[in-house]
Amino acid sequence: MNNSQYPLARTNGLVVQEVPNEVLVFDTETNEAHCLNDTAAMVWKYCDGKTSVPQIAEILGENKGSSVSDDLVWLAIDQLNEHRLLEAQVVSKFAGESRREVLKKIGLASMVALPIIASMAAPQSVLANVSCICDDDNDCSLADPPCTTVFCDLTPGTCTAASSQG
Amino acid sequence: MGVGEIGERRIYATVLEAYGVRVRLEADDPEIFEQVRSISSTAFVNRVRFFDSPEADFEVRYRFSTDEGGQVRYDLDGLRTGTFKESEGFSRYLNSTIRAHVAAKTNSWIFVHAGVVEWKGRAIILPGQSHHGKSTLVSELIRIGAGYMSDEFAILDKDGFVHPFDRDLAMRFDGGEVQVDVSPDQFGSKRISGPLSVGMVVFTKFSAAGGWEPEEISVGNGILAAIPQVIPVSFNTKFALKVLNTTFNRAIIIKSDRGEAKETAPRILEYFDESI
Repeated sequence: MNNSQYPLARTNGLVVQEVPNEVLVFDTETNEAHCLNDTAAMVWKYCDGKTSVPQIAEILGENKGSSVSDDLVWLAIDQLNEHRLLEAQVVSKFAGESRREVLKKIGLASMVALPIIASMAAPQSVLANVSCICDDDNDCSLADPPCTTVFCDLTPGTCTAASSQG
Repeated sequence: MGVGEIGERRIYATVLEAYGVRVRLEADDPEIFEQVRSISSTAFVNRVRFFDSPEADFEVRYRFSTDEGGQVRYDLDGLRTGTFKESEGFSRYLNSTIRAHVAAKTNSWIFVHAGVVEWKGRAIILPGQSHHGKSTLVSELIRIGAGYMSDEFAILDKDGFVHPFDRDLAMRFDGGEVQVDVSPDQFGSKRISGPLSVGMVVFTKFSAAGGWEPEEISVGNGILAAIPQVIPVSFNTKFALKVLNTTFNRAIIIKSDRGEAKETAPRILEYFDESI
């Protein structure tokens, strides 16, 4: 792992859409979408491999009209790391501390919104939202490819997650 | 229909086109072929056309072939195989898969699993999966005066306007699983021809303890919440995100648990009236 003070954003396999005050990123390798709030988006933007963490903090502070600590930038970098949005893995600055403790420490001292990245998985296949059809439970488990839900609900004859036999 | 030979078998085929996507339907039995053609003609209400030329291009292929035991097996473009059944359930299933394939392959439209109604000249979109009460909520909204656009898909064009998918509502009554098709006329509602600009997007699901406490969410988080319901997002990602941004940017986006649809419907419309 690289504990770089010059983090580099990943670009391969990502589709990026800017929306008001946020950035949406779709990872085509994991089929996941991420929503970066303004703070997280700005940190990611400056992860160009040439700008250091303290420099990113300074830029963010100038932009927001308020002082920004290196810790806040590191919090964003941690999350970017977790969501595979950096080119190389970065060792967390907060190893050994709970996320809660970190948030409390940084949040109390910060006038700038904490970085937040929310994620959601996208349907993997064309027919992901179409239930398999069945006459009994075997049809569900033996379907080709196997259905993700294994019990056959006989009316209307589709595979579901819960047994209809209770 | 086009008739050709593959090996020693006579094949009956046609190509269905909807939203710019072509699905080839072929069968080795003329009766099965006619049944499949008839079923699929209703996949997109009246917005399907057929090409019977054997040379017609296609993106997706559905095959129905008779095995040695006399059973008719289907192969849906290599993604699913199974046994053909002459039942209403199978007809619905076949049309659902055709819609899913078309939605995934189209370059000019974005399909979102959602109910859609019209209110005061704007659309209200209610994204949600099957079996999550979309049709019930849509039926209650149109019962109290909203115009009907869809209980299954919000179909967005490249400019972010929503078009109707105005099949009859697929209702389940008294918690049952059997679907019954109900015309919106039975709720006293009109079908809206669209397209419309989206005024509100509502993420809601039934909860036994559910009370209506809507919270507005950002465009980014709204698009994120919609992702599981957006069919082409993995196949035409850039276009899908661009259209969703255009659409959601014009709308108020809210999320809330809800109780019974009958109680929730007027609250949705009230929220719209107070906010827009």
